[in-house]
Amino acid sequence: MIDIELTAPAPVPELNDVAGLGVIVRRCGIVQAFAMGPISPGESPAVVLDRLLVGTSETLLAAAVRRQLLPACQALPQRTLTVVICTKDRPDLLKRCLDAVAAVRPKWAEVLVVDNASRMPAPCDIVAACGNARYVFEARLGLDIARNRALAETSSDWIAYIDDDVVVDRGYFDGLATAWAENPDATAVTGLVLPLELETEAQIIFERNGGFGRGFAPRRYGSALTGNAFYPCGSGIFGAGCNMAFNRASLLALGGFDEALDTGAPLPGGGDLDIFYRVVRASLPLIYEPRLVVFHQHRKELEKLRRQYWSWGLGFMASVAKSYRTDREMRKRLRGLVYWWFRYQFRNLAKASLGRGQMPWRFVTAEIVGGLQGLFGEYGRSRRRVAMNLKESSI
Amino acid sequence: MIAAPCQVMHVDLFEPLRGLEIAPGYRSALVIFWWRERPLGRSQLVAGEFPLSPSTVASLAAHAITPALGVLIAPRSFVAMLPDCDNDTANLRVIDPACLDRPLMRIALAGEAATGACARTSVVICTRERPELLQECLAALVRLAPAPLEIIVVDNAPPDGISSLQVVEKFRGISYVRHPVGGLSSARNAGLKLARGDYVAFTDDDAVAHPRWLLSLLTGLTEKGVGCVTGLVLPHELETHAQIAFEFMLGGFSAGFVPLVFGQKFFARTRPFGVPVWRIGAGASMAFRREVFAGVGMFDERLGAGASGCSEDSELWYRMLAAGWECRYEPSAVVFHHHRSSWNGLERQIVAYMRGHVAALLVQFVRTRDLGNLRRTFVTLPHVYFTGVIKALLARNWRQLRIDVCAIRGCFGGLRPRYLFRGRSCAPRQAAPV
Repeated sequence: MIDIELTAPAPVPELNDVAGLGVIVRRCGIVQAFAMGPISPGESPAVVLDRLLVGTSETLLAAAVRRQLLPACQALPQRTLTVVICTKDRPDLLKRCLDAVAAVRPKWAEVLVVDNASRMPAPCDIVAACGNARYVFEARLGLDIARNRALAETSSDWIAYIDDDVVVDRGYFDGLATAWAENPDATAVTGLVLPLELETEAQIIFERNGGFGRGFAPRRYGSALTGNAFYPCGSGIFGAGCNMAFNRASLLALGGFDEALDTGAPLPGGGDLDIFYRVVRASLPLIYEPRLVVFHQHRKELEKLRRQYWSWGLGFMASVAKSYRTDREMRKRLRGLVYWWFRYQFRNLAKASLGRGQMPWRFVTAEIVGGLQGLFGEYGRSRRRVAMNLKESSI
Repeated sequence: MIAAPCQVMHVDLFEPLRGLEIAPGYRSALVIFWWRERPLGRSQLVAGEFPLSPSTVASLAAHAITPALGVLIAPRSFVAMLPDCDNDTANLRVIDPACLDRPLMRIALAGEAATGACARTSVVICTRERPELLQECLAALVRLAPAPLEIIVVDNAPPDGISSLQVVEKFRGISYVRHPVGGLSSARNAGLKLARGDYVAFTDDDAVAHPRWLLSLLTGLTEKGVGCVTGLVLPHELETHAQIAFEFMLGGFSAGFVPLVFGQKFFARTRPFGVPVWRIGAGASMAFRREVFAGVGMFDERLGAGASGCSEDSELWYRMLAAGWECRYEPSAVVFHHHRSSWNGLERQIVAYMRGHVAALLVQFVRTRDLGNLRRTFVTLPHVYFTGVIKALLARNWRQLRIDVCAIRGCFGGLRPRYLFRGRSCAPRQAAPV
């Protein structure tokens, strides 16, 4: 992975012992494009770089047009922000994440670490070592429970959630301020997630198949979207849970996150999709802002990646099943979406088994299995589990 | 398909950016983005997405205009969107960072070099019993800047001949000629014979020209070797299902926002498959050099509205390409076209189009002996419509099915030998160029 700046072209780095290259293109420090590709033997680094950059022309030009049409708003935000990092038993990642935030944190932002029932006491010490960050311990296990705890703990106007396995970009806070300036009525802002590293096969497979990428074009999602028959169902288009921010008051009014989703095994995932869906269904503006960048460390091992695809299928279908229960108006679209999703996955599977697709068949199968589990009752089971845990803990 | 009625909006990005609202009653919108006189892209939206904030308009515009803008300001880094034309798209290069600084400022506007040529141009409009449309068409033509040498209205086989003449008399300095023989080709040829200019531009009575239409067409035409320049045809309005179907399901006339060159490379590359000359443009917006007609002949009177149905323009382009001329497509030459508003009218039009298309393929084959024309008639088209019908049936898309059935009827109609053998052809028969 290399990082290049268009306004100050740097010499092409030496490339030794690498099979491929990922390039982050910046202009005036702002991330503008990303490209990746393999290096064929004997190719010089400059040639490879050019080949990859050619594909980014359109993205770069679109950004330049937008910049010309809409000169940047320089006004400082009159808002306060809490950056929430929910963590569990990953002290090294937490430290890296905290350091990155601390390096670029402006005055109007504070940091809150929610320790989601870590068995090791380490997070407390790390946070103490970092200074400037608050620490709370949430004994009930579950990512959405931790997220709701953070919501209750803060009093700032906005609340941004990042996962402990990401590193924020240096433009992270400016990106959020830009989104606010352009959309004063925004309720939710999601951002771009780029790979932190592409070291292993699993990481490359994941990124090549779309990763978390939602593109480099800012978008504002309202109550309709041209050309998408299922909208607003299928809320994966809106963003990802490892990089999202909300207006705290609106989030509270919506009732916060659904604690029956994102509980960790056996139902990891789906909480972010559910909250995006509820925001858009409540006719509140959701903004996708590609200048809000985090770098995510993708799963290194193939086995963990397989599990992630499984959890995506599961979380997606669990959130669909939940919406189906609660949102009668959208049932027809949700049925259409489920049909479309399975058709899409089985086509992928057919392609993969013929050896043509980019995605190994094991991962597609994992996603389908997850989808079936999610569709057939996992959400209901999870609700009962959470209710029981709550009862036990209150006794 | 997008819902009717659809509002057509124009946004000039040169002006300070504002939010957009949709007029009440409209269920969708087509937004066309301009940079001063140059159209650069368009977006379709459903009514639920409105109102749009300025930042959303900026995002939409950036997305919509980038492909065309890229080709205009950095032609070595962007691929023209139409395959096979002469624009060189191999070996793309990294975009020059200088292009990323205020990129819209780098667009060159239509050259003033053509201003002189405008005064040597005749504009010909053929009309038939549509006085209201003709009135609007002429009102736009007299506002052309700079003005042409002359404007000629050819009244095609008028039953009484009064109404069109009355319209023409409202304007000063427009010639009127009654042409008793029916058929668009015949009327255009009559206009051609009267025209005194070195260049001849054609538009239709149901089209409204942009004030810079002629200037933009002539910018390309004044270059050496260019025999014809066509322009962009945008929808005047999209009020009914038929108009929307014409624009979006049939592709309308829109050939995109990127200037294209159709020269010998294009002709050679596509010849084995039937040269897709219809991609060059539309008869509602085209201009020719007068010498062309002396060399390759005039419009074929067996073809065109009133005879086979259409394709008289593309058949002429075929002859021009075969004779070594170059054709250009210049999107900054804009006319706004009134599409047929009734579904029946649309179906009749599709039948006529395909009938004309097939008849033109046969005429082209007879003229040049290029087997590609037969291949398209008897292999490509049957394959396209057979799969089209199956797909429409599977998707239960009845509208698409009706369109396909009309097209198939038209194709069979075009095979009738009467188009090939009827009347006289205006062009000398040519041997196929080697």
